[in-house]
Amino acid sequence: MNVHWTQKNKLLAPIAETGHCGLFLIRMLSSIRLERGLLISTLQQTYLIGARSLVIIMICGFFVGMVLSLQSINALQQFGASDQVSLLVGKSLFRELGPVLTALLFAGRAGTSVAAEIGLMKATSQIDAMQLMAIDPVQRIALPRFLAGLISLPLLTAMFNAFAILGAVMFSIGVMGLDPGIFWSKLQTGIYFGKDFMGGIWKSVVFGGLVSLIAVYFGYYAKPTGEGVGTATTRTVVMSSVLVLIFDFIMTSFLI
Amino acid sequence: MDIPRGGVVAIMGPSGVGKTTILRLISGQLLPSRGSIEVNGKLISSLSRRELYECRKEIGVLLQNGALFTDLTVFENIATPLREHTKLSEEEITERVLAKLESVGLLGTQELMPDSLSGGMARRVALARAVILNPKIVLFDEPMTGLDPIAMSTVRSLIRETNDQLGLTSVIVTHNVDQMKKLVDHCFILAGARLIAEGSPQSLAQNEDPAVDQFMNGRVDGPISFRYQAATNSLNASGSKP
Repeated sequence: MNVHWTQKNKLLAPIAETGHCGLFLIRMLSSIRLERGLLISTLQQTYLIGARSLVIIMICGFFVGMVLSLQSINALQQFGASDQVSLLVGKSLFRELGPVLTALLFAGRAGTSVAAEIGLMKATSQIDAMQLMAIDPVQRIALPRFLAGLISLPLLTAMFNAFAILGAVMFSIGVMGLDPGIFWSKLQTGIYFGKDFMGGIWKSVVFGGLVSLIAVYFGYYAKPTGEGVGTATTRTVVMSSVLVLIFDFIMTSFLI
Repeated sequence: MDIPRGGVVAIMGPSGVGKTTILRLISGQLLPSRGSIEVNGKLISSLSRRELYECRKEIGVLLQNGALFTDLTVFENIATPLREHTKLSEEEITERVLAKLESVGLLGTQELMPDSLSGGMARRVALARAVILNPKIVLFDEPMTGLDPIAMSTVRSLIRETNDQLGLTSVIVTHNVDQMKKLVDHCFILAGARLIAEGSPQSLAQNEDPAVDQFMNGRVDGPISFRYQAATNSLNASGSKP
């Protein structure tokens, strides 16, 4: 696989790279073997990139919930409808903000670390050594990290949502003095599990695959130098953020 | 170029002449643009990825800086090929790894992480990892570069010992003439991307070819230029101006 021939052509290069990345995905998926080793390393990576991102996700979720209810109450008060706040917060959170913000945070926290880690393995010829030992680095290094991202992001999104609702409750009931009964009943009757909550979770599955594919791809094809690793991490954040937002619009227009 | 089985062979030459490229060709990391490479009777360039990986199980490689996996302990580093390619029980793996560590004189380091090893120790761990599967061929890429004289001699005698004990064929890429004189049975010298001489270190020391003489004795003047080709040209161009 060679992408260098298009590098001079600014127009064709992104298309060629997309194709290259797609082939990488196929190669990664075709190397899946149901065995204990893959299970263990996937769980390990899920801990490293998923569980370790938990704290930042919880803190951000909490504050997003608070600011969302602050803005909503402020706007709804003008129509005398501030008791509808939980509905507005819930809908916007579960459908959009939860999956998208979690994916962006995940790209910054976990995507960069994966890209840098794989890039550094390449720079110190550990990937070479692995190939020379007849071990496929795509299967051993890239695949577990990709699967871990796919598993982690939906779970992190659910945590983000939970803490955002907590933040909204604390702010609207605790600070603004809204009636807890109205808050919870509006949330319960107005939000649908399948359409609202799971719709967001399905999005986050796609985002999880997208962000972790980009991270392992850029890491794996990083130039084996310090600068190359730096470029790989930067491109991981930029590309995954942009693509998450683009895919969000595309998916929403089909899901809604 | 024919590499005889059972000995220690060196591929030597000045930096940038393509020594490491030859190792990469033998291990199948690069494909030849012309010519062919046969290893253990198999044409390397015609193999599929799976066949190539099968073939590589019989080749151990020690890369320039050791290339130990930084996230694994010394023990796990050496055990990795065994876990991947054999169905040995945990006890057997422990036994074989510790025996190899013993043979490179590093018993007791198994729980350390690679970043807490010195350069010479890391090189010896990498050697243990390269031969843990009892390969037929071991390739060494600059095994002594950057080591102190004692570590250098240790690595040198280890290469000789493992080669003779396990009946390996060792191919060493290096530019260290003095160490090679003490170690190898047969030597190839490359210059200008061509094979210019081969033979035992003793016969090469008496070789009268000016390029071989220049390399073996480390002279500045001779047919092998240390100048970068483009730089020479531009110098000439500017020099010819009135």
